[in-house]
Amino acid sequence: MKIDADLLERFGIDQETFDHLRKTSPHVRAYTREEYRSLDPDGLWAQQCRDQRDRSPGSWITNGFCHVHKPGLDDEPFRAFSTLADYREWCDEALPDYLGFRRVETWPPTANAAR
Amino acid sequence: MPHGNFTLADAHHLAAALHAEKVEYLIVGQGAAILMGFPGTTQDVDLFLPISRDNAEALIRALRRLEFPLEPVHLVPILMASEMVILRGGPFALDLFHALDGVEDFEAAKARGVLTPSQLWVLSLDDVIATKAAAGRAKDHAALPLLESFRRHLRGEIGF
Repeated sequence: MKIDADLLERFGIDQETFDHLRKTSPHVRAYTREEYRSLDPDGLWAQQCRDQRDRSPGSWITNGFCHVHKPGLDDEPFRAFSTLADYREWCDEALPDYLGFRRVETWPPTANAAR
Repeated sequence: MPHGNFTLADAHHLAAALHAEKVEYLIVGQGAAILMGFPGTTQDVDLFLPISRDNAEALIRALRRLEFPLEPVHLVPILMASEMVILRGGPFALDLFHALDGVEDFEAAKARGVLTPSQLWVLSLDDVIATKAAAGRAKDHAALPLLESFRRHLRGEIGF
């Protein structure tokens, strides 16, 4: 399989190494360049769903739960809100935009919100 | 905070503790979909709970089995069914809900709930999607198309 020389050069891989890894790596799906280009996003997503179905339920958990510290939300060991509305309001006001907890209808954020 | 990822061992321990203490619960959010085979990721475990003093006491016993450090200040909101409680001091990040946007009440949601291969009860995928749509956060809007597509896969509407 030939691949654009400039692409290989950008990643510092020669054609021989690329061909070897493509043939031997268990992580490389055997698409030709033309096949890969023909795959539509829905087809790729369907393949991900099929792949996941074929994995064990244990691996769904191992791979699916990936905690990363969320500034604001995870800074205290405990928080409680009497109502969901209180919680949503706090999220809108206190959490950085990039966490995605802000309600879309309140977009863009207020000037006081943490960034 | 000392918590880390929700691991396979945590899932076993959680299922065992909730079962042993006869806690009524549903795992909700994207974690519910993941436990049904959704190929995505999430960060925390979210539990939906009925408003019930007996169930709250059972939950507290289960959380203590799991070594969540619960002080009196933590217990009162759980016993009084605060609608949202965030616990970050235990073995994994856990959120407790006594209300959810998009579902009418716990009993109705439980009747549609699903027991997953990990022996944890989860909200039905229809209800997961309904709650995400009702919550209306940016991250929910991002997840909805994939969750809806996953539902079509599960239903066999597209190749799966």
